[in-house]
Amino acid sequence: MSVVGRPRDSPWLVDAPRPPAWGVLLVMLAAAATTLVIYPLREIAPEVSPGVVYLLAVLLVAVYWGLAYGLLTSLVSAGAFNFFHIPPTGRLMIADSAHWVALGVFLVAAVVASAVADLARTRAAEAERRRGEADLAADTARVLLGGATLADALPEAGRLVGAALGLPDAEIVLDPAAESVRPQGVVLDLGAGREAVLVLGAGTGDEAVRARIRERVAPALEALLRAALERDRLQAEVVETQALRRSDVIKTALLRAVSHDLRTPLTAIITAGHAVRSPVLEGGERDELGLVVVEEAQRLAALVDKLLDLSRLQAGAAEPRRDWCSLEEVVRTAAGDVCPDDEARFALSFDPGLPLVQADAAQLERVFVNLLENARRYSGGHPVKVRARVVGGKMSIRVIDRGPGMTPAQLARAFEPFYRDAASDTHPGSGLGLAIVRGFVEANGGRVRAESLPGHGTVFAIELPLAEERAPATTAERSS
Amino acid sequence: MTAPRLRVLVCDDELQILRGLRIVLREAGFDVVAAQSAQEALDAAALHPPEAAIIDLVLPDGDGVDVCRQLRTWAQMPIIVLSAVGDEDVKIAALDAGADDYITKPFNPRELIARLNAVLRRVASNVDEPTIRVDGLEIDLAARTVRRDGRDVHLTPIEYDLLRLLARNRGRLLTHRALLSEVWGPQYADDTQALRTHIANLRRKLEPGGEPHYIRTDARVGYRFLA
Repeated sequence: MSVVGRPRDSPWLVDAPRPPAWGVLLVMLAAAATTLVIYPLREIAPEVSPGVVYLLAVLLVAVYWGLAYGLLTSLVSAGAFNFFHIPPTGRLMIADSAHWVALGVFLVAAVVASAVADLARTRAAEAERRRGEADLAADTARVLLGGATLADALPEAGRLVGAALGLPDAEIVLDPAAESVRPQGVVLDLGAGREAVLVLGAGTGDEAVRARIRERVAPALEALLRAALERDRLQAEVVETQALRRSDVIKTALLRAVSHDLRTPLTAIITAGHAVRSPVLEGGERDELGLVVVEEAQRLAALVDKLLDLSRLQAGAAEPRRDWCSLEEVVRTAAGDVCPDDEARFALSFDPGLPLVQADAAQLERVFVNLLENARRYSGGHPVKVRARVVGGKMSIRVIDRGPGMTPAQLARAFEPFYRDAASDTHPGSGLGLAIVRGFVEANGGRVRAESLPGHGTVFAIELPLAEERAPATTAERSS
Repeated sequence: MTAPRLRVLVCDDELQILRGLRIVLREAGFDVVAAQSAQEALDAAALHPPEAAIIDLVLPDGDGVDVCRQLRTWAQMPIIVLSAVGDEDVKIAALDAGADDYITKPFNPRELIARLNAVLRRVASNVDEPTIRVDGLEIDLAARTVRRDGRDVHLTPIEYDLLRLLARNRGRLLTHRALLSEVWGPQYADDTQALRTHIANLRRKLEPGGEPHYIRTDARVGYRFLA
């Protein structure tokens, strides 16, 4: 058994208060009990020799209560031994001089035993403290350095330190704004002008406790906090570098996109403009050229819309203006925009009694214009299916095409702006559509993901939250 | 004039551009063979060898650079590449792969036709004539002498080699790399500093008013001799 056998998570830093009255009572009890135990022993042993039993009491008291009480037990035991067991009993007198020697030897032995026991007790307590400190340092390191950021880890670290110190209200405050927290705690210097305060909580005005914390806990805690700050700084740098690199990539891609996607329709328009003035036009060619100009100008306009959507999203200016809106209306409008002449290209199906959603209708329309355009482009003439229903308390819309599908690698990057699969893309897309889809869906609190089976087609699944208060169901029960 | 109409291969994946180009080129006196992919272009060129080719650099099944390279393995017809990519490197790669010139989208179709005629003239004049005569400049390839307006111009051997290379490829845009590896040797292909110095010297000796007349600069790409 450990000499100071206290549970690991009990406060080890500060000794529990021990009222002296209890100590004196314990000493008396120990001496009395020993005295009683010796009576039966006297029947079988020479009168003085059972005095050794008192040593046991001295040892136990010294081990648990310290040197002072051990010495007190020695004295009281000597007195009791003399009074009750050394003849003449009942009086503090010693008749036989040999008994004087025995009592003297007993006292010396008791004092030495007290001192040795106390030394062991102190060492064990110190070892226990060090173990506690090491445990605390390891636990705090795990919390401070293992977490995402220092700010996230601080409450847990404060709780750990508090539990170890027996201060349930303890917390660590980084860069305290108010001067008022400083006197209540221990200031930790984190270097570079930053500091933290270990606030000890209520009822700890004890300067000894603070000194002990400053000496034993603060240095390790300071080192850990510094390391965590440094880790945060490095992480921020990495994130910043990545963001810069990413924005560089986006800028380059934007340049390429603008360069290619704007120039191509412009070239067609300019060429058609020159061609239409040719005196040698054959039948129908004039109409054809007129159509080229209109179609290519529409393509330019659509691209400009997309670039505007995307720049709004990237500038964070796409704050949705939410209102009740009917998904069926939104999807039908989008389908009409994408394919004004031929709505049969889309097979739209809406569950009866579909609730309204709280969202920005204009942004949702852009989502579906982009998704339907995309699906139609890849579906190889098959109709594109759209199915809307409520699943698991959320509005779920699936856009299903029977195109060539996407490989996992393509899927992983499908929502990145300007991502086009260079090798297989024979379709004129800007590479912006899906980035816009994701941007607007997420701005409206929803999620979008893509699933694909190469060779069989692709499903884009959108989930939109339904409002807490149920919206009136749409009356529409059509499905086409 | 009832000269036979020249056949031009036009390869661009944008049908809308092909529609306009077909009419514009027809008006300028060309027969157009249209192709919408690299493979179609190579097949059409093999089937009816054209007198010139206009190739878009971005094609669905490969890039225009490859088409240039493959055409050049068996044909010497002039090639103009259409570039929409603002990327100099692709243009230069196409020129190094054998293209004669490039034009950037969106272009004026008249400009395209002027370039086309220029590269066609280069082919027409390229029949090992012993003397190249352009605008008062006379390069005697046999005697290795150069005269301008009847007066001898003294050139260093390198300047002469440069001028001869440019003049024999009249109208063709020669990249820095092509000029350097031809005149100095392939190991000097990146020494554009030397090239610029010698071109400057050559111009000082040739150009009457200091205005670039015979040798035109295409910044960052190369030089071409007056078409």
